[in-house]
Amino acid sequence: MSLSRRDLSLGLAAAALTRCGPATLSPTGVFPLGVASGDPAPQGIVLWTRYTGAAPLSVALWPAGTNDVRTLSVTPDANGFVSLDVGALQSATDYGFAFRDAAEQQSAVGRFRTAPDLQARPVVTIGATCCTKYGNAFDVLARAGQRSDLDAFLLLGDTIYADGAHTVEDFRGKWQEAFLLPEYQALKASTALVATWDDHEFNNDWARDTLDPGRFTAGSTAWFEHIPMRRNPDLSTRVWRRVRFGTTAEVFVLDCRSERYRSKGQYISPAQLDWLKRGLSSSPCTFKLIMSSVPISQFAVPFFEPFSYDRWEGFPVQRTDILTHIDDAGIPGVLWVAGDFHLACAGRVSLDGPGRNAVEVLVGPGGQVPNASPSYPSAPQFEWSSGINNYTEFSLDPSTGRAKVTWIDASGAVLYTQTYAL
Amino acid sequence: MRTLGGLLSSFLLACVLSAANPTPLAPSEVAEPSPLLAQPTRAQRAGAQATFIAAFAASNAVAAALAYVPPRVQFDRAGRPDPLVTTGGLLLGALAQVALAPLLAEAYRIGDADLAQVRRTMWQWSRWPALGAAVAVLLFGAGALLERNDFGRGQGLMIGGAALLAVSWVTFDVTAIIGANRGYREQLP
Repeated sequence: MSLSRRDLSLGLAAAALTRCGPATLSPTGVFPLGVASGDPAPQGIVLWTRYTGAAPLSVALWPAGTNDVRTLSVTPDANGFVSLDVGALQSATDYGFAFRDAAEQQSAVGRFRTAPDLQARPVVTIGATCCTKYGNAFDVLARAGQRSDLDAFLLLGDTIYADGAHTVEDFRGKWQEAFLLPEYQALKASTALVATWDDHEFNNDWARDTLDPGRFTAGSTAWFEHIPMRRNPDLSTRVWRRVRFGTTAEVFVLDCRSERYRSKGQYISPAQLDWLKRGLSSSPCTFKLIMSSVPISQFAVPFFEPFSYDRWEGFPVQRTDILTHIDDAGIPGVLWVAGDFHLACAGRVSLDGPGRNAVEVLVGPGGQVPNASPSYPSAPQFEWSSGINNYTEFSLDPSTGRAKVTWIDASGAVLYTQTYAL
Repeated sequence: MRTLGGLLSSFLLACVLSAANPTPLAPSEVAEPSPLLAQPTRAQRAGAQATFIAAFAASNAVAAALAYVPPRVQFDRAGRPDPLVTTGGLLLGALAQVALAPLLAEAYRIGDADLAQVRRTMWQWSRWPALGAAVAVLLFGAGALLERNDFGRGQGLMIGGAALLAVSWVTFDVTAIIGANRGYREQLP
């Protein structure tokens, strides 16, 4: 690696900006959507931006608090999107990064932390939210974006509401109206994202056999353009994947939409289900977070029953299959994490039967109207629920085997906190 | 839905009654002298009915707001609904609607009506829907009580109560307007 004077000055400036915090973010015109990072690995990260200029582009990254700047040249795609999988990084290390073109125009400065070594067992802190509809206040995102201690931030889906979109330009427009907002830019710049999609990135309550294929192609194209994630080398459109944090935690990112076929009673593909079961069984991690865009919990009550067709409960064979597998194998440390309901919630997956000992946490909404049900989940199956916009913090301590889950509102106030011995 | 239903029923009836002027009874059908102090003009009659219906629509909005505000305020404070507070809101709204209706008969002063007769006929027509609303709120409240300690247990009753209340509310509006109109028309020569 060579370090030029310009690189050094960029690094120093960027490092100074990093210390100042996200409040100083001021993306220039050629980086209108800011910066982001995603899918952290012990030695790698995916860096993201959208560049609208024409000059040669590079990205500088450096361990926080150092002048050890590494510069990589970057080639945006035809539409200016950059998704760069960077390797050879130090594990469990905070990094700053910024894009810069040959015309001296620089992006905002982003931050991420690489994942711990595969054998390490540190406390891991992860944020999460879902359901951010343009037009609502995104103060929660800004609040989460002020933090610099998160190992990652989970986006559980409904990141945009693109229900009326059909062409890739339509979908891009929806992504851009969200990502142009400073709140989203602050969040994306503050930590690495781990994202999955749900329905509203495409159309309300869609399944693969109910969505026009052209619309799916357009929507997924725009999704991959705007979300920093490590693509599967064998199947680049695959969204389900694992993100591991030492032996502390492993996040199983599910795709509960694009492999769903209502006509076949299939919620996720057999391959994905098999991958999940094998992954849970073989994971050496203390905590296994299953990131499912829509809850798996039993909501067999009149106010929620009419919508069961759109969640795991509407696909009982696969739901029973995965819950029974976890129960029968006695897999410890499993925590289901979901969104979609426009309410935050904590409770057991089932009152009885498979999943009765499993815990599910519903995060968000991050920027949406609250669930309109006149009664929210409560005892005996659920311990707490709220419709206040929020993000959730997971503090995962492998030394105690306890996961502390905290819901935080836009003011930074704690709505609820609970510690689970999983 | 309740607000929309109420407003819609009032509006539809207003259209019907405004379009069809009340047909004066033939002289042979008049059994007794008209209790009206003076013979109202056609404009007075139409004005009385239109004013009453407009006031009824407005009272619907007020009642719906009274039903909406308590649970809304409670939700904003707690971040989650309390079915008992929702019950209180529904009770408040339904009571307001039933209590305001007799006052709205004042609109028939424009038509020189005997207001007591208007109110009496209105109540004769609308008392069963009013009773239905009371039963509906009771059902909803019973469901709310069950729901308070056991999520899901009271939801069937709450749904039943809400459905009955919606039907009762709309029916109350329609029958109260028809009853008031009948009570007034009976006084015309």
